[in-house]
Amino acid sequence: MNMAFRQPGRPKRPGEAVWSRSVAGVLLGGLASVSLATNVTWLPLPLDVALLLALLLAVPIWVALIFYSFWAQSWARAWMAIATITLPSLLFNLAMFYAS
Amino acid sequence: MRAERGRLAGLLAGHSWLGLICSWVLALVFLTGAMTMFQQEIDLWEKAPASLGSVEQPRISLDRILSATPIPSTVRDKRVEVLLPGAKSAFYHVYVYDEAGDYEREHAFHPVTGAEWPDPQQSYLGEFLEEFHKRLFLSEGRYIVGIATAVFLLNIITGLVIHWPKLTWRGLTHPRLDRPRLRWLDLHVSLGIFALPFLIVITFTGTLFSFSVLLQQSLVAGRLHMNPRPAIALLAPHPPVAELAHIGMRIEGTDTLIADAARRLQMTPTRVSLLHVDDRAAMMTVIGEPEGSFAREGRVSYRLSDRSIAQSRPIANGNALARGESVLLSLHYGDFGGFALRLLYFVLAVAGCILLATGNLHWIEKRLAQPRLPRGLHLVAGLSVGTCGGGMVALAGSMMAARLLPPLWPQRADAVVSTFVVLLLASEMVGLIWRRHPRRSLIGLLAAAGFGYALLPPIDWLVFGARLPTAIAAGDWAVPIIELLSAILALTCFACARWLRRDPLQAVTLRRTKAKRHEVVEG
Repeated sequence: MNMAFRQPGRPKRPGEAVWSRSVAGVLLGGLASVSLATNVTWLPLPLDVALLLALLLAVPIWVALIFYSFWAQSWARAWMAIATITLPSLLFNLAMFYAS
Repeated sequence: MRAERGRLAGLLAGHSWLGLICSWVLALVFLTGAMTMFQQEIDLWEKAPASLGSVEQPRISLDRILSATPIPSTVRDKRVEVLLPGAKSAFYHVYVYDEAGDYEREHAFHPVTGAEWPDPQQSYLGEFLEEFHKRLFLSEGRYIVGIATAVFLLNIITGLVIHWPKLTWRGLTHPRLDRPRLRWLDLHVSLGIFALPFLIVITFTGTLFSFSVLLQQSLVAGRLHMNPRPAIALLAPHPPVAELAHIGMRIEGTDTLIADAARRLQMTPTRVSLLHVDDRAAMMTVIGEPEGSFAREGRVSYRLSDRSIAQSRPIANGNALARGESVLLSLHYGDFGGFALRLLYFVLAVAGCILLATGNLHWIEKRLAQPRLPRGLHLVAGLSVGTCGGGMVALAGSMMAARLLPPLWPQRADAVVSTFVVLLLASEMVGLIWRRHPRRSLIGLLAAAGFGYALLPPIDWLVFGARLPTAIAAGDWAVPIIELLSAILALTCFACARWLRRDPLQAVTLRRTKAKRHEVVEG
């Protein structure tokens, strides 16, 4: 599978698609980090502890995902990876919401 | 190896572009944040000479302040919140509300004489700088600041990954100032590394605060089934509930209760909250913080009719969220230490502004080395000049306005804020209009700002006369502290302007050297 979504033979430019990587990291990464941090609030902990833990985790996860979006070898790989994290964590939140 | 190079190129592109876009917001946030470290001193300085000599003097009692607070008879269920003079406030600030209506007034009283300050909202500079630091004085600006701060945190990490393998002690302490492209990079890396712990703490806590309301609501929305009240109650605990008795009762002896709460919980009282004032069901809550530790909070609520304790929340009993947030707040504002720590925070925040400026200059230098100049180069240079120089000019101008405008002028606060905004926008215009001569614009702006800061101390001594040395002798250092900050900022501006005048740096002249042109032609 061609993860770079490039025409075969076209050389890869350094730091390609900065805007695409930014959107993946900042927006989708933001959604993913909130979603992952929200997963923590479902742990059987007191509300104050769960909320503090989730708050402290949300920003580092977000920054790590933006970092990954630029670290990945192609912008498409960054999108795929972040989307792969986002979807299951959103689904887990939804499942817990309806189960609670 | 090739993959590694590709990754580093991605990080470098993200570091430089995201850093460039966010630098204009962050430079202003860092500058105003540096001043926020001394918000109480700015408040006292702005209220001088009336405030001179109010520190370290015996305070007037709260009973007298409350009896002097005018409350109209139309207010049925009175609630009074008092900010006590101390680390959080220079004067007694009394906020009167009607629990049953929409009445809301703020009064300020001198902590020693008890004289009412005519319009407390007109001495607004310190509060304005904090508002600008938090949300750029825009209604939803906290999210812009939050995103810019998160990107800055990311840039610290990407900067470390990119430059860590090349770091040497000699490289950090001896920047190559004679090498056009490398001088900015060396200065940028040195400042970033030496200020690293401060920058990480500031950016992490800053991002968290910018998004805290949004995060708190969204994080527990599912668990609490969209009812945010339990989460809000964790941060703002309800005082004990009491119904109005509709029997009049004069409030007395509040100072004794404040002293009792301070002794009982070993804390320094900072706020007092009074419910059902002038009614037999009146309640008084004393809120305070322990000295010399991260900001933890204790509170004791008293029934004023029989002076019994209705609720006591010792300092160690706060919930994890409230204690966690207050620790983060203390780390961000540096109020867990003394004057030296706040001055260190101030210097490091100004160094943060210089870090951003050197980053932008390096960005421009790199583009100047390319065979074809990018289209937006002049725009970037103009915006960088307008923001870095303009922030300094706007701050100097607003401080000058705060010092020179009459304290009782009804439009004073608006004039101080307008001075800041107009000077900032005018500087951006200067940067953009003369974008082909950024060096000249930047020198002009920095020199103007430097003169503004340098003039503040002589004006203070001229206006206050002999009252200033008397106040200093009595232990009131608020005005000299602001003068010290003005002197540091004046020296920074003059030093940068002098360097720019003596050394025609490429990045601010936007002209390539002859040698470089030859290199480009030969290449």
